[in-house]
Amino acid sequence: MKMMQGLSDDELMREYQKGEALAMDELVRRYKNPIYRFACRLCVNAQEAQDVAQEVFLRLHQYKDNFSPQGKFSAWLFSIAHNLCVSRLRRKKWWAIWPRMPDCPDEPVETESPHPSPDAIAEDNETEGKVKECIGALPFLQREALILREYENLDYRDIARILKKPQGTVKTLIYRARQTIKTKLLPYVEEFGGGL
Amino acid sequence: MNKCHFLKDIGSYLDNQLSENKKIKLEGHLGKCSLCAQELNQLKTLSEKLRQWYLPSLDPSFDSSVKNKIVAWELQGGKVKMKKKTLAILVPSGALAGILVIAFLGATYLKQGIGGRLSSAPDSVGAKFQYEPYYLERPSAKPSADNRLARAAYPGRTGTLNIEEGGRFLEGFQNRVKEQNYLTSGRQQNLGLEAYENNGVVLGSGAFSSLDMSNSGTATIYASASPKYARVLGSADQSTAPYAPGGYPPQVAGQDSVIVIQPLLPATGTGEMIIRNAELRLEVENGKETYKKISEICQELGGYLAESNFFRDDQGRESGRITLRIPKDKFLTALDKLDGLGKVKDSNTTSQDVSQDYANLKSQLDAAKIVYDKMLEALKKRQNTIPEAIKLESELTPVLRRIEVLKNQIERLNNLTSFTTITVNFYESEVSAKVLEDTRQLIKKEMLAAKIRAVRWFAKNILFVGSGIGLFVVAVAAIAMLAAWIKQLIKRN
Repeated sequence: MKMMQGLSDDELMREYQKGEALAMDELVRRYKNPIYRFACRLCVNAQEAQDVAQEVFLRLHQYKDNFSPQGKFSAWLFSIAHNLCVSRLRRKKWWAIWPRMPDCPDEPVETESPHPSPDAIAEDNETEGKVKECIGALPFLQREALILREYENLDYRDIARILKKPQGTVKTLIYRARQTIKTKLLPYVEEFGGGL
Repeated sequence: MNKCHFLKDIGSYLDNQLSENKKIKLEGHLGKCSLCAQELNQLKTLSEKLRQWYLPSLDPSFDSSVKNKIVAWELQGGKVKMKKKTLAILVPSGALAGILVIAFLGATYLKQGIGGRLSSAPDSVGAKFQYEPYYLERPSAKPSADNRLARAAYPGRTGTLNIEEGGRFLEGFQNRVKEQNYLTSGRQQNLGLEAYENNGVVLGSGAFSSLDMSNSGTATIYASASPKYARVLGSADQSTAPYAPGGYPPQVAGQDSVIVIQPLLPATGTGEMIIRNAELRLEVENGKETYKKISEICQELGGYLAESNFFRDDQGRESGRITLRIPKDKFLTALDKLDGLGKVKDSNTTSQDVSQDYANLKSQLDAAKIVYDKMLEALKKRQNTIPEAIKLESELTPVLRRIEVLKNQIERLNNLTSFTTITVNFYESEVSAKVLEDTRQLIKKEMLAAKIRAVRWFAKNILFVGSGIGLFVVAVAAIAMLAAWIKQLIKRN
């Protein structure tokens, strides 16, 4: 396992293509939380986000032979997650896109989890609540681009690949998302001394 | 408010997505422009605030659930779900398409088998049959034998066909046997026959009752026909045999292949004395027209109407029953012509050989005449006394009566054999052309009346109709606007 930890994503993938099951364990360990959080922030509730994450790794297994290390492995994985989220949203269509978008952390992941529930965290931190609200109010593509940039720290090129948009568009999407949030968050932070 | 053109690049600078040149330029600019410096600070703080959105990590059991999912998928066959769905559609569709194609091909094959494949000639088989000889051939000539046998069977003449199966000779005839059986047993049709000698000379025509083929290549036709048919036509050599009229080569049988035509009844040697009867049931388009045509056919062939009935039921459907007496040599022609008058639903032909009866009657007549002559001579010689003469005359009278009866019987047989009897039952199909035409006219009238009524109604209620249409348009527009508004709302969200 130690040996696997020292390998890059692409190397792990190559190992997995050869049939090394430990490589998959390492990849799951590395990406389960980013994928889960991405799905959760993007559009779906906690349970669905977990399902999406599972599905992403299943797809990784199913299409392991199709993978070629041309781009970043993480971008490939996130593009799978993006596709799954979009198809889920399409399925839910009206009620999924509309009022329930920002409700991800409102539902507890597991009651017996040793971690504090998203609700508890949200209550503890009012700024966080406001951030959730602002991000949730963004148009879908702006939200997705911002999440990938701010939380997953992906560069514009990878985001463009995931969203299947030109880099210039991604740049604009992120710029607009930031301006919108800034406009909404600025009065709030000034009022409560957030220091923006 | 004046905006700096570098403002848009601040975000990219913060994300470290600018090229080196742009980065150096912007860094130089930041020292001079307070607006851009403020923007940079705001975005940095915003980024920090955004990262306060905390989400818990996944439960450790997640790893095992992923593994379980992969294992479950592998156990299901390890195929991608999307492909499974596609297969689920493709497999039944393919199977259905296959069944349809097979059914179509089968139907086409059967159709050809009955109507086309059996009769290769472009002309009407029934019409040609009368002029073409009927041959049986050895295995070497199977293809043309198929055609000829089919030609013989298809017209649906009298007699039944029975071909023995088995052995190499019939191996190539398997299909044909089935078809023949189908045609004959299914439609109860018998065959007409024209027999040719191997030099192409027509021996005569008749109806045969059965046909047997043996493995040795010998074919025997049993026919209820004139004594001429009781001849063995014998074998013929293909190289020397001349062609028969009708386009077919004469019997191309080999040395061991012969055609034997035998009558079912013993030959009497008194010529062709066969009573032929036929009964047809026809479904026709127009009853009256059919009646007229049958009469014309009868007249044309030199026959006469023995009996005729014509009916019309409550629904106006016409039917009839006509009995024709047609000269014996025009029998097949008459059947052909009558077949063309409508759809043949049923056809039955019988023949009875009365040659024996005829011969017996003639013998009896001859004997009676001899007795009569002798008695008359005796009477002339022995006219001694009146009582004696009366006694002799009273003995002569029954003989004379007997002679008259025999003459009548012979005359009746002559009549029955020289004229064949054809009974035609015809009826109009349930939906005849006439009824269809009537219905069409009625519908036309009704539709015209309905159109006139509709125009009148619109003229009377123009205000009501106009306001109704207006309301409908307004309602549609309102729904469209509502839909557009909801769409916009969704987009905004």
